[in-house]
Amino acid sequence: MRRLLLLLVMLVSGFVVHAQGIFGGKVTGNFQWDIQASREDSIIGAEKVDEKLLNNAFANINYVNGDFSAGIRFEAYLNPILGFDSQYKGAGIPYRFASYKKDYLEITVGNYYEQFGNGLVFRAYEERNLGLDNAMDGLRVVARPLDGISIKGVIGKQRYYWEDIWDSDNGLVRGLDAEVSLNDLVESWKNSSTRMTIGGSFVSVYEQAQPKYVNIGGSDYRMSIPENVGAAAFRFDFSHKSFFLSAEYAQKGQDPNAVNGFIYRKGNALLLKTSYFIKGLAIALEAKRIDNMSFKSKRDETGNMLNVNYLPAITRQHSYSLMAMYPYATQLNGEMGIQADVMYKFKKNTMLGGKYGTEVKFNYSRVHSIDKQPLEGYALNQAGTEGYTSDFFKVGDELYFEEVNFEINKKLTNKFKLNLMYSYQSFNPVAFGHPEQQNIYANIFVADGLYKFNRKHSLRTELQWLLTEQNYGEWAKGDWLQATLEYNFAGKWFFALSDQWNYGNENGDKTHYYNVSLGSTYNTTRVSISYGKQRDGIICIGGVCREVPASNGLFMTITSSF
Amino acid sequence: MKTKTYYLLLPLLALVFSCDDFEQDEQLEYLGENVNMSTPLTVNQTEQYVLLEDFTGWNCPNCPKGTEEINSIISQYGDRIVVAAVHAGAFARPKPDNNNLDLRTDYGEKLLKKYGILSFPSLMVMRNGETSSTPSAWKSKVEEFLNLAEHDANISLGVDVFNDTLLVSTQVELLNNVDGDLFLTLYVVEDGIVGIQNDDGTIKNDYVFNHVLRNGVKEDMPLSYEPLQKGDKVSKNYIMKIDAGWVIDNCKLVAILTKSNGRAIQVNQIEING
Repeated sequence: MRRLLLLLVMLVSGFVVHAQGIFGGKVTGNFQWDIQASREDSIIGAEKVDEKLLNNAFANINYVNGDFSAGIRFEAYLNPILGFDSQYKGAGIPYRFASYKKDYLEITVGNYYEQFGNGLVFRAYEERNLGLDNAMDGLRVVARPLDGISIKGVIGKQRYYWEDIWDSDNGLVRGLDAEVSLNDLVESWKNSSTRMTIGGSFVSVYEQAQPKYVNIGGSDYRMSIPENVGAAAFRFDFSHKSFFLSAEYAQKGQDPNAVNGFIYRKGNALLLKTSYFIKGLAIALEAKRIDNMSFKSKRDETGNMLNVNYLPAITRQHSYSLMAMYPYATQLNGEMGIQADVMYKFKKNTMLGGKYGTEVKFNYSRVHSIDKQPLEGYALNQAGTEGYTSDFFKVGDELYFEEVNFEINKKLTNKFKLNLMYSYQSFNPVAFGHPEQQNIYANIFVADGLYKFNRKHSLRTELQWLLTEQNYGEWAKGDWLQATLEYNFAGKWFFALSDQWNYGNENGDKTHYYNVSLGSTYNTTRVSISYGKQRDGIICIGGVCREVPASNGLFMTITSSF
Repeated sequence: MKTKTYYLLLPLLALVFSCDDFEQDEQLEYLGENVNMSTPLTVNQTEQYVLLEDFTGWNCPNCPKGTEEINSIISQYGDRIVVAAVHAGAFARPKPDNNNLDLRTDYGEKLLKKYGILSFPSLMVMRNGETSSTPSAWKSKVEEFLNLAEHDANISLGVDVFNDTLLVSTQVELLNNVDGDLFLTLYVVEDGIVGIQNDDGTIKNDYVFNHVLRNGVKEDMPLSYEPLQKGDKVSKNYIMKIDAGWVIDNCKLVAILTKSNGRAIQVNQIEING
């Protein structure tokens, strides 16, 4: 069956090369192939790859004809590249759907992605770089009976690698979401500068209960496991001219699971955002509190798979590698934090703005544990009990993460643009399950300059410098220095050299992680090849993280779309 | 009401599939405390024993044939056969016709429902989830387990009686590595209960019921909270309540070692002498 589907994909793809119209509709898609050839390197901890060549590939092919759309995604992990779960090994079509819009209804059958509000109770999404895909397989209905009213219903099971989910005991997810845009609903508000939207969601997971036992104080007990776990959320968005405010509160019912240690405590989450823009100044503030909000469709699952909900990170996502060395992962069992962003653009032809203007950014974030007190007579987080009590407004003692960022973007001349950044980071390894490790305090400097020789040729030079006194191995290896040169030709070719040097490592080799890469873009196709060393680390996207093992060798990526 | 307006009622579906939340007194079922007292282990084993759970009832006309077959198996294989006669379901329901003698148990009704047993008599061997209503086929099913090349565990037992309390000491020795968690179930079976039995349409007034499963089952108690491996010996002691209706000298204590999927890997029994 799989070979037949593969043949079908190839035939359609071949057809598409010559004609993107078929039966009056349109075929679109995209393709990516990552190939890795890594060799053993004991200095950096790169493991031996028995099969010598690893690869991840996917191809999306979608067909749209009026109100009807359908599509498939073929994936191949033969075998998965380093850092991706070996359970992905294999090839097949894990994603297929058909969708139709009629009257006030939009119906999707098969696989789909969806999110309710900020995702605090439901988010089915894919993050390829994390190897995360919790696509739903089932039915999705969206109804828009009136202007400004949207009602969504979902039911199905989540993807779990290549497992036949319908032959598994994984939970069945059901959800409803309703959103009302008051400005679209009330005629007199349609053109108002004040806009308001309210919404509510409810999601329930049914998973058959398996016996669970616990020993408390020398006595054995059998736990009653709730088979239906529900979570509800309420949200509102408000904006008036340049002012924006949004809030979402979610509550989850009893959900003893492997992540929370099988406690009966209900979960809750609060997310607040506000921002204000005026004449070159933008201010954004964010606050978040999470208490026991791991919500999965399999209660014994740990790790990144089978999450029903999504708890966004409240820290800045960095693109510079040394700034991203100590990333922060959302603590599902409890955290509270704030983030502030201020951006100001000095106008051009002013003293601080210069000839071309100057953009200045400030960012601050701080994340703490929540207050947790043990129940009387029980240990903290005792399985089979409520686990703990928590004062909602009290900040916990443990500082998980703190960061201060300054950034200046300035075009100095017609040809030269400079980006300067400074970051102070305080990182607590307890957030990654290592309470025995010391906190890491780092100062990181980045200078990124882009010089355009002419319309076609440009050269980017990037320098990064990380200073830290912590040097105990694994998480902290002292100071780092990184230099990158990237030459770009007409937006079609690029060539880059970089070296990341751990010169401050007092407990091991002062390794150079050199890398050379070359790439080309033609229309919608891009090919890039790199060769060199990659240090081990962690990649985090939106608070969800994956370990990246060290590697030494070749890496090639081909992407294309049609 | 316009069709599209009905969609506004969709959110009410949320009321249907809500959530199961337990009150504090419903969250945990007490299984027993770790008992510090112990009694000498007087019954040991060195080979595979086989558990036969015979689903029966006084008003089941074919059940005496099943009992005869079981007696035949016992006479051939002796101590290696451990029997529990589970009186459950409609055929075991007490009536004036049998002087309202009620030999049913909560645990027996639970097993009946769990394994979907409809035909009587039904025999289940080693809790393998399969039942047979053909007594002539029972011996071969039993022999499948008796003839296993090796067995995974031995259960040693000791028992002592204090007034209305039974002290049970157990020791489980693992002979092989077993995947997953292991659980012990303890129950009492009683011999020599006289009552009325429908035997192929004929009512027998002085029928002797043996191996009758009694109430007060200690069910699915985790053997260990730490992973176990070959060679490990786990000793545990339990307190069980003796029901006033039992003739304790006619009772035996049965210990069943099961995996998390419910299947038994070993069983043993010990006579309780008051």
